[in-house]
Amino acid sequence: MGCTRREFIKYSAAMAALTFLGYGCGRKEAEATPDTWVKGVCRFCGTGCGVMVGVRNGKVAMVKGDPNNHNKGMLCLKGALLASVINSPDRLTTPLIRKGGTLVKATWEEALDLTATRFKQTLEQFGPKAVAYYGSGQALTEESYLANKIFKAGLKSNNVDGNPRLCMASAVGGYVSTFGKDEPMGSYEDMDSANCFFIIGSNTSECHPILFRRLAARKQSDPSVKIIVVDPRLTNTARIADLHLPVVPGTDLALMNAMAHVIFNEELDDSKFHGKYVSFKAMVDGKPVEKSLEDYRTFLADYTPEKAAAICSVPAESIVQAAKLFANSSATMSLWCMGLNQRIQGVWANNLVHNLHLITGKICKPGSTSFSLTGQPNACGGVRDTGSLAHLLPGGRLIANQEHRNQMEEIWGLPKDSLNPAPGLFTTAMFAALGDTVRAMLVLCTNPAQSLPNVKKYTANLKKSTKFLAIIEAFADAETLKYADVVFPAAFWCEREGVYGSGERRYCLIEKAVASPGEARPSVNILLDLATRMGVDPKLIPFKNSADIWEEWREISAKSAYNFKGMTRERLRKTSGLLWPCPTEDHPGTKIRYSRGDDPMVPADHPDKYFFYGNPNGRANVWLRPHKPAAELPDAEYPFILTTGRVIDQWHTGTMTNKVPEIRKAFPAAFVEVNQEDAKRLGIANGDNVRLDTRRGSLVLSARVGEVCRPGLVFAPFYDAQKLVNELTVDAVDEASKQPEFKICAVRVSKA
Amino acid sequence: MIYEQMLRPPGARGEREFLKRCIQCGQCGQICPYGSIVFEAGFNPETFGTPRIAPRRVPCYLCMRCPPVCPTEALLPVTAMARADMGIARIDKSRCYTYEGSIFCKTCHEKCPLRNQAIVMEKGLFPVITEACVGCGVCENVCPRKAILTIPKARLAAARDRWDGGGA
Amino acid sequence: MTRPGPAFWRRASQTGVALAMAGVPFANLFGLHGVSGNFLAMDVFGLPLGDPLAAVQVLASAGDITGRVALGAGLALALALVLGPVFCSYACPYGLLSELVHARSRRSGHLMGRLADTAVSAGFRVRAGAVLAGLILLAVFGLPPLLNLLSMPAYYSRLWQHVALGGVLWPVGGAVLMLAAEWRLGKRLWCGFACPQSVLLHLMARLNPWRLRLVHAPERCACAKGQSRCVAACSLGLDPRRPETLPLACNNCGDCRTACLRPGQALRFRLGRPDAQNAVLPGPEAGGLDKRPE
Repeated sequence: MGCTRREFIKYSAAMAALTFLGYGCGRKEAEATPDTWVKGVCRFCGTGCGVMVGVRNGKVAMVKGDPNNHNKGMLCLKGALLASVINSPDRLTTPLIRKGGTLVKATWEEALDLTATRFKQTLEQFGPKAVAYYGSGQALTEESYLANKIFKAGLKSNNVDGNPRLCMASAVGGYVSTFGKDEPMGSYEDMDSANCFFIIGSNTSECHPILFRRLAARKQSDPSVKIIVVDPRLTNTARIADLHLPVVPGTDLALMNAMAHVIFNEELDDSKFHGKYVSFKAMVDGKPVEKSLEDYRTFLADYTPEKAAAICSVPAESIVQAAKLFANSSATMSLWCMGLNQRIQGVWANNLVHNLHLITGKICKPGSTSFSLTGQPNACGGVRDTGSLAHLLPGGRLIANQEHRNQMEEIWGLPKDSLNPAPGLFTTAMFAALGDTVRAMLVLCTNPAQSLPNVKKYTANLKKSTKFLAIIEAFADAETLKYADVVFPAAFWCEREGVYGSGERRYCLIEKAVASPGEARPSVNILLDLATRMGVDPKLIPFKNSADIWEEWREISAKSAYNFKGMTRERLRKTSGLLWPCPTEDHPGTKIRYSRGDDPMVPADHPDKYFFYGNPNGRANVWLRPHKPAAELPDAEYPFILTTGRVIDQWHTGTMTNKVPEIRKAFPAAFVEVNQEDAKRLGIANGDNVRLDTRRGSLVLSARVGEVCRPGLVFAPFYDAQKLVNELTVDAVDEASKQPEFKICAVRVSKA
Repeated sequence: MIYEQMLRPPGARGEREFLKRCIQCGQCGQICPYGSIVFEAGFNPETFGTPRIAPRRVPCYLCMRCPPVCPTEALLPVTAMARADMGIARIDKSRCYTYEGSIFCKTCHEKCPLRNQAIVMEKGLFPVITEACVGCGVCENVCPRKAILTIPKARLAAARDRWDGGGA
Repeated sequence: MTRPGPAFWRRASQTGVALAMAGVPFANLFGLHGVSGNFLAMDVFGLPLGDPLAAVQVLASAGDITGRVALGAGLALALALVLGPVFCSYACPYGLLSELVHARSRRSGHLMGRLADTAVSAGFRVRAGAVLAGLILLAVFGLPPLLNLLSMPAYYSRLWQHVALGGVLWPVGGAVLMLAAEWRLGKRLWCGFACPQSVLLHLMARLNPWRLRLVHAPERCACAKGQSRCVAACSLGLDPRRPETLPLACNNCGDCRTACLRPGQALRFRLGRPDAQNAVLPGPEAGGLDKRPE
C-alpha cells in the first residue's frame, strides 16, 4: 500500500506537531532572556573558556561563551549548562556540625568557633606539624594564596597541599627540572600555527573539548597538518589522528627515547639549537650530573625503534614515522595530560616530551611548543603559581631553599628564618597521617573521599575519632561530607569575585554575578574569619576581600619570574584575561616565554634569542631518563590493566555535573570499557555486569564492549559516587613529584 | 494510517507484516530489562496492544533480548545490534547545539550503542548519523536540546513510496 | 468434614490460574522470566502455549506460522480434543468472573432460566460466523489478528501486563460492562453468544468421538418433572440431558453433576464413544423419550 494524499497530510500534521512541541520548548528558552551579562570563566576544566553569565532576576539563567576570550564564544556542554549547577537545590546553605554521628545545622559562630578552637588545641598540643590544609585547583587564586599564607606564615605549618598534587605535580616537576620554572612557554594560539600535533596521554576530545575542536579545525583548514596520538585507547581523539600508537600503558618512556634516537639517527636534530641552549643531565646516585651530547647519544643508542616497539607493542615503523613527522614539521606542538602525569615516572615522561622539542629546536616559536594541558580551572594560577603545595612558596620558590624562605619572610614581614624550613606532607602522606600525626585538617573545594587513589585506605583515617576535619564545600552530596566534623557552606563560582589562572597562563577574572543562597559565604571570608580566631597575626591577613588579596599577590609576583604586576583588578575587569608575564599595566601579556622580544623577563639586550632564565646557566636541561615500567604490572592473578579517566559530559567526581538533568540522563552511572576480543573470551556481552578485582578492592560495573581499549586494558570513569573506582586504584607515587599513578594498576576482570 | 509512526522493537518486520503477526502476547515487553517497550493503548483496532518504543521516555538499548522471545516472529530473531532495523535518527541541525555553533556538544555520539558506526564525529567536529543507524533512539533520549528525532522504519518506507510516485 | 469435591478443585484451578496470570508480569519485572506472556501466547519454562484462534488468524493473514506458535496452539487444541473445552471451565478468568456474577444474580433473584435449543444453536452460529467472517477478512485484506480484540481471557491477562509495565487497558471497561449486563439479566451471554476463541475448542472437541463428555442416564434420573436440579445448576443455561445442544456450548464444568440428586449416577463424565450402556438417550426421531418440557 502506498501513501495516499490523506496519509501524507496526516504524516505532515504529526511531524509538524512533534516539531512544534520541540520548538515550543525552544520558545520557553527564548523567553528567559537575561537582564545582564557578567563576564567570567567556566567552572570546569583547565582550558579556561571565557563565559558570559546571563543573570535574570538575580539568578543565573544561562551561560554563553565569551566571544573575546580564546574560546571565541564557544563552550562545551558542561559549561553551557552551568545554570543547573549553581541553581541546584543540593547547595549547602548553612554551616553543619557533626553531633552524635550526624551533621546538624549550626550557626556560623558555632562552626567557626569550634573549628578555630580545635585547631588551636591541636597546635598547642602537637605543634604546627599536626595541622594541615588540603586545597584545590578549583579554588580562586586569592583563596589559595590566602590559605597558603595563613598556614605557612601564620601557623608555621607547611602541611599545605592540594588536589593538583593528584593531577599536575609531575608536570610541575617536568617543567621545573627542565626549564627551572613551572608552566608552559606557549599558549593556545600556538595551535593555530602548528603543523604537527604530538598528543600523548591526553584524550583531548573528551577532556579539553574546546581545544580539541580548535586543533580539529586547524587540521581541516590545512590538510598538511599531521596529528600523532599516543594512547592505549582508540579514543575519539585518536580517530582524527594521522598516526595512532596504541602503546601498552606505561611504556611511553621507551617510545619517546626511541623517537629521540630516530631523530638523531636521521640527523633531524637541530644541533645549532641544542648546542647553544641545552645542557644534558642525568641523575647519578641521587644527584644531578652534567652529561655531554655524546653521553646522550650513547644513552639513546640503546633505544632502537625495534626495542621500543617490543616494549610498547606497536610497530617499529610507527615509531620511526612519529619521530619523522615530529621533526620534519615546520612547527610541532605537543599536548599531554594525565596519561603522562598520573604515573610513577610522571616527571620523567614530562622531561622526555620536552627533550624532543629541545633537540629539534621546536620550542619557543609560534606553533612549536611543549604544552602541558591542565586538568583543573585554577591549578596553575591558584596552586602552582602561588606555591600552595607542601614543598613550595609563592612564585616558584622552594621551602627547602633558605634564600627563598628569606625572600618570602622579607616580603611577608616575618622575622628572618622564622618560616618552617621543613617541607610539609604531600597529599597522600597527609591523608595517611590523618588521625595520627596530623590531627586537624581544613579541606577547601575538593572531594578527596572520592578522588584519592586507593581511597579506602584514606577514608579509614577520615573515620578516625582522633582527627578533626572541617570542609568548605558548596554541595551537600559530596562524598567527603560523610567524614566531616564541620561543614562550611561556600559561595560557588560566580557568586564571588576572583581570578582563575588557566593552562595557557591566562589569568582571568570571574566577576560576581549573583548572590549566594542561604547563609553561604565566600571562602576568602571564611578563611579570614578562621585565621583571626586561630590567632594568626592580623598584620599577615590585612584583607577585607579577594581584591585586597589580589593586590598583595600582584605586587609580590613582580619579585619572581611569575610576574603579573600589570594585571590590576581594573585591567582584568576590562579584558577577557591576560597571559603572564605581564610586568606593567601597558604590557599586553606574553604568548611565548624564554624568547627575547616575546618574553619581558628576557632582557631586550640579551645576546641570545632564547634565554631559559629559570636555570643558572640559562640553558634548558635534556634529561637522560631510562625506561621504567609502572608500579603494579599485570600478573597471573591480576592479568589486566585498569586505567581510569573521564567522559566529556561528567566532570571529575560529578558533584557538579550530576546536578544537570540532561547530563544525569546521558551518563547516569559508571561503566567499564572492555575490549571486544577480551569480552568474547570472557563471555561478556555489552551491558553485562563485570566484576573488577584489584589488590585493594572490588567493584561491579556495567560493560561497554567495543574496540576502544586495547586488548588487556579496561577503562572506568570516576564520576559516580555509587561506584568509587578509586577503591581499586593504586597509590604508588612518583618519587620526585609525589603524584599517584591513577592510570595503571593490575586488575582481574570477570563476568559478574 | 497513523500507526505507521510507531517505533517498533528491534527485529520487527515491515509494519504490515509485523501487524499481521503480532498477537499482542506481551512477551517482548516483559523481557525488556529497561522498560523501553510499552503497549499501544489507543483506539486503532489494528495496532491496539502492539509493542512500541518512545525514545524520549526510554529508548531501546539494543540488548536484543526481545527478538528471540517473539513466538510468531513478528520480531525476526536477530541478535546483532546492527540488524535491529528499527528506523533511523535524524539531527535537526537548526536545534543541535554543535551545528548551531555556540556549544560543542557530542553527547549523542558518546551514548550511541553503535558509536563510530551509526554516529561519527565528522572530522572530529560535527556529529553525523550514518546509514548504519538502526533507530534505537538512545541519541534522541540523551540529546540535551531535544534536537534528534527517531523516524520509524514504517514512515521511511512510506516516504520512499511517496517519492516513487505513490506506488505500493 | 467433607472432602473437597470436584467443584472445589475446579474453582481452585480457576482461581489459581487467575492469580498466576496476574502475577506473571510482576515476576517478570523482578527478573523471573520462567513464565511470560498472556493468554494469547505464553511461554512456560520453554513450553509454548497459545490461543489457537490467534495462531489461525496469523496463518490466515500472513500465510505462515512458526513452529512455536503451531505447537502452542496445538497443545491447546489437543487438550480440547481429549478433554473438551476445559479451558473455559478450568482456566478462563472471564469464565470465573462470569460464573461468580451468575451465582450472585441467582441469589439476587434475577431472572434466569434455560436457554431454548434454538438460542443455544444460534449462539454458536453467531460465534462461529464471527470467526469465519473474521478469518476471511483477515485473509483477503491481510489484516492484523483483530479477533484478539474479542478475547476476554486475553484482556484479563493483558490488564496485569499493562499494570506492571505502565498503562491503562481501557477495553477492560467493556468487560466490566458485559459482566454487569450478565448480572442484571441473570444470563451468561459472552461465553455462549460472543466468544470467538471457544469456537475452535468446541469444533476440535467434536472431531473426537472419544472425547471427555457429559453422559446422562435417564433411567437413574430421580428429579421430578419440572424440578431438574441439573438444569437449574447449569450457569450457561443448558439442559444437561439434551445431547443436541451440549456439543455446541457445554464446557465440561460439572456443576450439573455436582447438583444432581444422585451425583455420579444420572450424570457422569465419560471418555469414549457413546455405546449402548453409556448412550445419551436418542432424540425423538429415533423413537426415544420426548424432550422434557421444563
